[in-house]
Amino acid sequence: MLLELAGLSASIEGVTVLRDIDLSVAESEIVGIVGRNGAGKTSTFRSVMGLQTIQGGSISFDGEDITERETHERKRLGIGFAPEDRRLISNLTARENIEMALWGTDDGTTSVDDRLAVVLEVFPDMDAFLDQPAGKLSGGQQQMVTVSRALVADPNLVMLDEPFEGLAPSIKRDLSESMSTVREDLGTSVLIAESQISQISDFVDRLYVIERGNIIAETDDPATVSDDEELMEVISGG
Amino acid sequence: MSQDTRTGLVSEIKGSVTSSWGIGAALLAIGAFALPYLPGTSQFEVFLVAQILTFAIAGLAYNVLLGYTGLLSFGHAAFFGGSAYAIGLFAQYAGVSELLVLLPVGVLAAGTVAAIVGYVSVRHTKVYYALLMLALAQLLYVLTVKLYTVTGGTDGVPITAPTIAGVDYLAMWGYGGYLQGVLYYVILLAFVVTAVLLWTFMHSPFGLTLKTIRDSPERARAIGIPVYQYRWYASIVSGAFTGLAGAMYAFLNGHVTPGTVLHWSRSGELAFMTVLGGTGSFLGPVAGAGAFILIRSQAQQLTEYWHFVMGLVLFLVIVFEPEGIAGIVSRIRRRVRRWRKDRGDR
Repeated sequence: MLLELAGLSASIEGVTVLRDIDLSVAESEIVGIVGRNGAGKTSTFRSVMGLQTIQGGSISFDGEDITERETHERKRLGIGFAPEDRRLISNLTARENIEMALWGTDDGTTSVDDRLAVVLEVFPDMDAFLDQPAGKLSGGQQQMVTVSRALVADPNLVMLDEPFEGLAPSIKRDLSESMSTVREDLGTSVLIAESQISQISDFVDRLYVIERGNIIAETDDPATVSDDEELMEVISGG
Repeated sequence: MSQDTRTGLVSEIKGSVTSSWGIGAALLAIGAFALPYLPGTSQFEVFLVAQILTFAIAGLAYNVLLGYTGLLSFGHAAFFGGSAYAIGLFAQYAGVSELLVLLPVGVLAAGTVAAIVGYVSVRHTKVYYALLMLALAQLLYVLTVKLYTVTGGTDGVPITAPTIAGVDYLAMWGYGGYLQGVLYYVILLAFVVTAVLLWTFMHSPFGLTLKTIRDSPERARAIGIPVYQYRWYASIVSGAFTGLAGAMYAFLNGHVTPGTVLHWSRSGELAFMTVLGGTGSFLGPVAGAGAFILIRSQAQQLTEYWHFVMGLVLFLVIVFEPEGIAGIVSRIRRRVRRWRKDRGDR
């Protein structure tokens, strides 16, 4: 397995946000986590990145226990992360925002321009606005920049936290299609979180359902989840 | 940095040079270069401007941490004084008086102190960082006072005028000729080198990374930036250049004591100058150093309660213009631009 979480538990200011989470992502696999807001999707990602203190369990990546590793070390090992709120720097250009992920981690083997060319293969439309300030881009364009920033350092795994949030339907479709490019052309595994199962059920290989910090279901046939009324009720928060 | 970004940087430099501000800066540079030989210029004015340039170096260096990295330090006296003392003690015990040897010794000493102090302190921020820096700097101050058999205690260390490339200008030209013809230009050169290098650093990915860390350490971490490592680098850069200022101070004053270079109030003055000039602007600390030295010089002549005047100035700046002199200048620029636009519309 590329990523393996075993018995992961975490709390924020005394409130438990993750309980005994077991989750895995294999090489070249696209895995989804679905759950309503506050279910624990973002906390799971933050724990994997080392941005969230965990109380128990372990995280291993590519066979190595990374539970005690610093965030930037996890990134160097090959984990890319596109956070939910995008976190772009508005007065820097899209190009600079993407290149930022390479600053301080450049091993000198691949040029910045070469790495940019690779992400442009995933998002060819980005070429038109690379030199515009990130603050002036539309939501969809900003999302492309955020995902590109997570991909530019050539990670083995990229984690996308609700990338479809607030995007126009056509942009959502383009972004969904780019997931197969990420997997097939870049050889990168994807762990993607969403609150609406319909956004990701078409392209994920496996799916986890998370509720109140617990993984309550796991399936390798994501299309069947929408037929399970009980599960759909939990996901929609109804 | 990509080709486009480099091209952008070149255009920015070209734009700056050809703008009215660039022309103003060029005139200022010519004035600074010609100052010792301008009619009516005395040793006092040359000394005063040399002092301003010295503290301008320290202010630019201090702002690497305060303005660009968001760390308020009350321990920069350790780098300033560490360098000055390294020069004084090295000259005394090794019998070396060559500037080209003493200067690297001072900068290296400050950089080393910054590397050690920074390594301990960069995991903390805000008041914890400020107090940790203060504590570590005071440790150096107390050590210097207590180890009086080595350091001269509160009497300090005399710094003889150095030779430059083996030439003893003081013996040749006397103090006036040495100050106006040599030392002033050494300090001016150190200032120009500092300004150019730090400007380049701060406009490179290194500087942009520091700004990202300053604005949101959490965001920087999420991108994968090693936050502590970058803060540490910034501490070393800031400390080494503050050490350069400390070295210039030592050569200019000819004597250093714990009270003048290592005391916490020296760190406070560097913070004062930087805030007075404006932390949001690269050249703000230069203006801050100039204003601070001139106001203090005038206040000292007017009253023995000059500390009160300085306190009042700091109070007024923080309350009415937190962006400092740079903030006032940019406000004037905006008004001039608006006035020109209004005139053009008519």
